[in-house]
Amino acid sequence: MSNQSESPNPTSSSNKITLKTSDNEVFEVEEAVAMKFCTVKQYFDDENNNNVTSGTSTTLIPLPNVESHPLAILITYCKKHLEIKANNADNKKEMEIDMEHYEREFLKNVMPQELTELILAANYLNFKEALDFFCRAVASAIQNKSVEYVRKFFGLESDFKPGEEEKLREEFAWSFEGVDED
Amino acid sequence: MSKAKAKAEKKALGRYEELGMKESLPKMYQYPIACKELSFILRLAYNQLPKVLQSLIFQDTLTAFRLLPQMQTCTAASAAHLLYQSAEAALPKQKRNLAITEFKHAMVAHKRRQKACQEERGSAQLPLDVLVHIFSFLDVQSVVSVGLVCWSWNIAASDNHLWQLQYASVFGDSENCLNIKKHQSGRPVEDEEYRHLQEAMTTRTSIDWRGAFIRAYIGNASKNLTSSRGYCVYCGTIVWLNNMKCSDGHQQITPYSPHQVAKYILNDSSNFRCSSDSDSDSDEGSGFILWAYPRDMFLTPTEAFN
Repeated sequence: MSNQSESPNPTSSSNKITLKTSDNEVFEVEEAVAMKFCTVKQYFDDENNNNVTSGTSTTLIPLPNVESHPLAILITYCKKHLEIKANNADNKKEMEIDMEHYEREFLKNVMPQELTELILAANYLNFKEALDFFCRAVASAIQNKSVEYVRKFFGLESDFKPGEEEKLREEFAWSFEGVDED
Repeated sequence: MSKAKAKAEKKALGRYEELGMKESLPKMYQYPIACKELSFILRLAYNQLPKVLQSLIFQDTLTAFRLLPQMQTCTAASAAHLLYQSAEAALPKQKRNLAITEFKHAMVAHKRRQKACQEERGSAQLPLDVLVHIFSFLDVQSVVSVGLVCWSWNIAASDNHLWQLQYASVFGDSENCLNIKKHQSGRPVEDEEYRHLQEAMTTRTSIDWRGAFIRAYIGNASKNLTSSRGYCVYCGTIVWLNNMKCSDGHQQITPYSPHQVAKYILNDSSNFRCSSDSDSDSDEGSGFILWAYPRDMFLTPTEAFN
């Protein structure tokens, strides 16, 4: 997953874009960061196209489905992402190693409940790299775990009626071997 | 009305009643399949069935729509939508209008309830496509396991594309495996599996990748595992399957798809086509338009839900 076309040079993108979250917080971010959020980019492009004739451009973009908490984390992640990319523009391997290192550290500070919020925000913003990263993180957290562990991890409750779960379990008895201890 | 005809009609009615639509629809996990069966029956059989049975099917269709708000899954909504499309195509004018109104009410109620539910649970609920995305990083055991967390996860974990990926990663490329198998002088078992897939690909019907996976995983012995409906030889009726047995524990089961269930209802009853005496309000054309569809096209709606 490489986007060579982007040139994340911080000096060239001094333009700021303002994002407004559902809880009415305002974030000012560099254009390069905002353009990683495809939903924002789309909005931005549409606005610009509409305003070509009039020459005015609104840079305040409302994000009614995103709260400030996950957005702040996403912006930090995105900045770091661009920075690592810029630092290792000519060495892809180096970049991947840096990225991996950063992502590992990043995950240490994220609670399971936050992860869900982050995924929802990244999904709405259509920020592909982050969405992929968080989904992989969730997947590795629940890989080979018991059903009870996964429920607890996500704070989910079973909505099966009595007997239904047993039925499903029976149906998939062939696959229940070698599950990790919780 | 001839005696033979009356007898055949009674038989069709009996066959339909044995499906137990009324009992199946309120169950969350049977609802989508029951809806699919109903819509196939509407499309394939309705016009050729006796009046009594027609009105029974119509009532069950309305019941299905009324139950929709209670079902909180996307699969239920899409199954109901499929049923709505079939009702629109097959039902005569008056009934069609009733069904459409019922469906629209149900859809509004369903959405309202879903929204309320989401608010209640907070942001914890991930949308289906994201869940599928997450599950695509898991191995088979884990996919099965997360399918037991709750119903919405179960539905995500049953995603057909997900299982196609699993099939490809465990048994090799799903597209190429057919070509490879072609070159192997096959054993009977392999051959059958191969024929099954090949057939599905050439007729462009939907492939049940989870079924294909399980069959390949534990061998051909339990083909019935993934079907939820089947014909029990002992009971002589269509039954819901539980671990490839019928509820009385019989094992002589032929699995039935919703499409086959519709055919079953129609079975040998095609000779009592309703003489359209008082059938003035029925849209004669609608049934025939349907038959004019190429087979592939007709099957695509189901494909989308698998």
